[in-house]
Amino acid sequence: MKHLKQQWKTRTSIVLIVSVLVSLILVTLERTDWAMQINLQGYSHGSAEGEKPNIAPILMYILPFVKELVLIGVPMLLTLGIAKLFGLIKKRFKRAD
Amino acid sequence: MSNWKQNLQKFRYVMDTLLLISFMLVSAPQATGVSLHEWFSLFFIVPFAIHLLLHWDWIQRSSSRLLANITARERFNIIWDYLLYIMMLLVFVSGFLVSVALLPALDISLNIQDFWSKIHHDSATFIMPMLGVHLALNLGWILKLTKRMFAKEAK
Repeated sequence: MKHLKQQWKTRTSIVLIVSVLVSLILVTLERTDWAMQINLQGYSHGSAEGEKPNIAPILMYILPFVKELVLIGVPMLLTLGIAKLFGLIKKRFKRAD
Repeated sequence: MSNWKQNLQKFRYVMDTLLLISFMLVSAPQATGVSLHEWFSLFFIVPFAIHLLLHWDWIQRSSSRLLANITARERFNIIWDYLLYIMMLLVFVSGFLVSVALLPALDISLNIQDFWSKIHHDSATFIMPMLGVHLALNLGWILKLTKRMFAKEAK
């Protein structure tokens, strides 16, 4: 915990102040034409209220985590692949020089 | 692994693991239910703030590093981390503005706008691939620390 205690009051205050300021700027998004358009059109996602999806109850608990693993894991692997590709191209160019 | 509290790198590793686990828990309202999702999200602020505090040196250096002569990968990493921070705040803010359990329990009533529902749903989905890229960019550190954490201590 000694690492967290180091100037924690000043640092936490700075994080808090910056986060609140950025959040206040983000809240102003609701005044944009884009927000008004979405509010006029309406928005809903997922099944209707009270309506249960037709899947096994155990899957109801597992599938959200599978979705997270896919949404985090696939871009992670793609990034690693792209970084490796860039590394190889860079090496080729260096060799050619 | 026994001295993880004394070693900054190991302490960061443990705290970042807890942050990832809590993120995954918070990001599954279909599994936890909306009420728990909202309360978990409130407490999620703690590991998120700890993450920022433990990487304070990096935050301080990042703005000056951006202007320095650094590799494209490092520049991308810094910009990506800033965007991830803003996206996380957007998820938090929109989440609080569409709260149906937390704020009413605290006796705060809000008129929920469809705009914030959409923003919360979209940003909470989009932050996952952003996190995936963030993890990939720091995978070297993650693997190095994983090895150090689980290495058998020399007798």
